[in-house]
Amino acid sequence: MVRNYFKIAIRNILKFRLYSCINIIGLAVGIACCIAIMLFIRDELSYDGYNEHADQVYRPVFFATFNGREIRSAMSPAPMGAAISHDLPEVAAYARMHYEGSCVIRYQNKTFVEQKFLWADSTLFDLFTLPFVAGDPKTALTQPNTVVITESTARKYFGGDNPIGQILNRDKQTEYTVTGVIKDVPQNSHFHPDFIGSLTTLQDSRDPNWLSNNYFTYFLLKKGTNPKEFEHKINKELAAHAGPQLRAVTGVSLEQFLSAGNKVGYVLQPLTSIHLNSHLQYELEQNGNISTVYIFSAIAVAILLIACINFVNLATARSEKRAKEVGIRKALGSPRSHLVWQFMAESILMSGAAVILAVGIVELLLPLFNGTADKKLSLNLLSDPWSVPLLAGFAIVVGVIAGTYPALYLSSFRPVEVLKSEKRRGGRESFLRNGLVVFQFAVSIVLFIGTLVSYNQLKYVQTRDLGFDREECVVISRTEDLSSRIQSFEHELRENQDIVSVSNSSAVPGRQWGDSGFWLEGTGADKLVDLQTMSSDLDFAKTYRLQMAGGRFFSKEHPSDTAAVVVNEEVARLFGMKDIVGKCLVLPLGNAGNTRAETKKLEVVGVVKDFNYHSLHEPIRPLVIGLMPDTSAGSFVTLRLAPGNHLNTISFIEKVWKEYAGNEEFNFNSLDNSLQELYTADQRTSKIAGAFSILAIFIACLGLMGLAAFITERRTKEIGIRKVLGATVPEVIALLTAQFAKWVLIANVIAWPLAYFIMNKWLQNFAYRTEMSLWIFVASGVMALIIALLTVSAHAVKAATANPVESLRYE
Amino acid sequence: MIKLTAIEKYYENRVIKTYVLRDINLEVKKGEFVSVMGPSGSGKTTLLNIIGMLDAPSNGEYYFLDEPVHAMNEKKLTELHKTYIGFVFQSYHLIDELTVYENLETPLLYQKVSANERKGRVAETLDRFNIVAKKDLFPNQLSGGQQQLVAIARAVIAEPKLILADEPTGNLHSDQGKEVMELLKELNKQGTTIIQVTHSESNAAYGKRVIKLNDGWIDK
Ligand SMILES: Nc1ncnc2c1ncn2[C@@H]1O[C@H](COP(=O)(O)OP(=O)(O)OP(=O)(O)O)[C@@H](O)[C@H]1O
Ligand SMILES: [Mg+2]
Repeated sequence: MVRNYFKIAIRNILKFRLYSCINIIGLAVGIACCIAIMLFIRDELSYDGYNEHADQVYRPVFFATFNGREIRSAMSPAPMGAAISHDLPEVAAYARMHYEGSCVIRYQNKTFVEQKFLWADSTLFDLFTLPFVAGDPKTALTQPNTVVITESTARKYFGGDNPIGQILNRDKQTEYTVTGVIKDVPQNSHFHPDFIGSLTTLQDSRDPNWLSNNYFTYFLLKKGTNPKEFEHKINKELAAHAGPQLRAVTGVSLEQFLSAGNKVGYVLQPLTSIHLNSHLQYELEQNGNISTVYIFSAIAVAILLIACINFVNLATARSEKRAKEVGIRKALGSPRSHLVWQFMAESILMSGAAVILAVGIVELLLPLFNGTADKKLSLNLLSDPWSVPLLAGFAIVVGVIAGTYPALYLSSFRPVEVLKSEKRRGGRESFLRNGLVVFQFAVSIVLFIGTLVSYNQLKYVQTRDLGFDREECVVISRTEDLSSRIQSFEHELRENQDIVSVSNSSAVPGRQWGDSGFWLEGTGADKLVDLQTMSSDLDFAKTYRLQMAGGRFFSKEHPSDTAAVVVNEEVARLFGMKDIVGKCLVLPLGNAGNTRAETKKLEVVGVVKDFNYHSLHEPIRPLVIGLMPDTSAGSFVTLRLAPGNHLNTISFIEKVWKEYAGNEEFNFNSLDNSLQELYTADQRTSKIAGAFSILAIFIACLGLMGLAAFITERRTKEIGIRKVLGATVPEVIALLTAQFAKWVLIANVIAWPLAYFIMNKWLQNFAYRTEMSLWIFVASGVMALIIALLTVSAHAVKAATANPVESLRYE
Repeated sequence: MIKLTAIEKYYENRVIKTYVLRDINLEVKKGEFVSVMGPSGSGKTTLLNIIGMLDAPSNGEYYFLDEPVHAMNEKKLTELHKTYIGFVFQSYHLIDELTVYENLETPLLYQKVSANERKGRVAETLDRFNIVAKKDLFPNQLSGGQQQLVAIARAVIAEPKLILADEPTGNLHSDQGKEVMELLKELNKQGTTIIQVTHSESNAAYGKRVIKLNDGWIDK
């Protein structure tokens, strides 16, 4: 019996080739998208799950509100880990990590700039499952000046030699002995160190200061610990430890501070939720985004639905072809359930074929997807024992979803009705079918609009006036090692007439900036606010072409500028002052060891107009710029070049760099480029979503094509008669395409508000956003209409130009 | 075996009610061979469909083997229909997607006949109807008459207790028609109840009783 079902199913599939192709290709493309997206999502959800104790590891992060401004940092104070694990029995182990940006590592004659040098407590390996290839995880990081490296790093520096005991030099300052080699950190980890230095090397790691957050702390909690209660206890500990220090440094007690409306506390993050849910200042690496997961899941479901709808629509549209068979079978004694199963077999067979095709598509296109999504996904068809049963299950599920309605519908025919006249079916169910087509197009149009809106927004963030001139600027990084020679380095660069301006600063737009607490002179520490900080030389405003809103930028004529600051308008707004020039900011210098409150007074000499020094996801934060002391150098030198060809200038700059920095690597990038990089993740999501929306509309059009074929076929006789009666070809085409056009128009009515709602939500991700202009909606709608009409017209033209005598002969 | 009392069938739309069958009272005993005659449109096919449980009457009662058909659910109807009735449609109604062989096999499949026996029965029937050569052809590769033969073969293959034949010989050459009628007569002799619709007086003569339908009424 089952064999019989499949035999008929196969014959039917072969007999109605167009129909079967449309169904199988549509389903295959839909399923391929689904598989790719599921792989993506599985990977995103798997972050940090490789750690044996993943579900027991938590990270406290700093959530505070100072005078109405929120601060959220991924870091915590140096003494926290030790104090908490000493005081609270729930802690099984803790480990801290510390990061200080890029560095230069030297080994014999090898020199590399390294981005991923972390320091960590020796207990790191109790919390994170980082298997050792050589060395002992228990002791590897217990001594100062020791380092554990990854296998790839070992290969890079030592080739085949034994890395253990070798000595690496960091920034010509510190030497580290390699005491361990770990396997490369899995890709699905929220941090990927190449070097893990022992934290005891750093004097600062023993700093008892609870008031500054400079360390990533991770706790391994004993099984059964309630994280909410633990979080509560941490915050109590905070009061006990930080309170006295706060009073010592600022003269204000914690109670006073809090009663002024400020909030301070730590929130406990589960390790496995960091990758998708943590977007704080000072993350170890840029994390993924849960909304991407949602967006992609929604797209996967939408595409699969569109493909299944094709199946339902085509199956019911051609039901009149199957009705006779159903009638006869019933007359021969087939119970309805048999027929249901027979049609199910057909749909499962088709979805099975589609899954096989989909696997082929995925294998073929996964590298492309990986490239766009910056992932290393693979299907592992052979190595993963689960993949084949999962795919088979998928085929059955899709087959059942797509086949249930047609099966129930087709098997419901009553024999006398369908046997008596063959040309009556199909019309009745067209309400449902039209509805489904409208739904498909509505979804496609929403995806279209989404793609255009995100494209538009990303274009906007890349071209918006940021308040400084980003063109014609290049930035040299890692200049801090030039220290006092920076002056003459800059001087030499200025000699070149193609270099308009040179400025040394501790930060540049698009990078991490520091922050610090200040209060306005005349108020107290309870009026502390957190301000972004950076220091620059005299030429920063000139080089970036910043506009002054009041006062002046630093200048040679004012030697007292060493104790002066320039702020942005946001600072003035924060303190609620129209004119802040001439006022003083107070910076607590307190070291927790000191008992006396020590502060530094800084006079505001100028206000720069607000400029976007972070990505446009974030609003402009209040900023304090201090003057760089002559004797030290900031990490960045920004050069404004004369318009024109920069090649010669760049090689000149490199030559000068070599003179000053010897064989230090020359790290430079155009400012514009590095600003674009802020949006790579957004661009990635937008590109992938765009590709999927094209596929969605492709599948919808496949269905439309099939539907058009059936509908025109059914109307062949009518068309013949109309032509005999004198209808012209264009009139017939118009007649046939009009109903499709109507569907697409209705789809627009549904899609526009929906897309507006969704994209409005998405745009909330950006502090600065474009308007969703009407033309995007109109363009998407018109595009869908044109695509739909082109799809349908092939059949319409064929039917309209056919010889009427031919089409009337059969009847 | 069959007892119809006051059966009515009508179609209604918003405007009018068209009667197709009116006040049909009919009893057919087991082993009878009944011919139904009447002009085109008089309701013969409709009556046969109702007896064959393919269609439901608008009013009236229908007892099949003393069981009330008018009160049964679809499942029960299918069950009854498939165990007792072989149907020959006026317009053959073969399954286009199946070969002659498979068309013949289908009723046996629904009655859960074992594969071996199925093979034997199909081979035997093909032989009996002289269509062995056509067994792998699809219906659209057959002539109208050949299709009718297959349709008859399919109706008898499961050895039903009741054969309902709607103009079974309409498209056959008179010799072939005669053969088919002889076959029906033979089956009737062996105890099969037969109700046939026919326009031909000579075919009607094979039946032991003739029922004349006129405009939905049974002529008395
Ligand atoms: N669905 C329907 N709606 C309305 N009237 C119908 C419907 N089906 C059948 N009829 C009418 O019922 C009447 C009887 O039809 P039936 O098929 O039983 O005739 P018949 O006696 O078998 O004719 P023939 O000898 O031509 O086969 C006809 O007049 C037909 O028009
Ligand atoms: Mg008839």
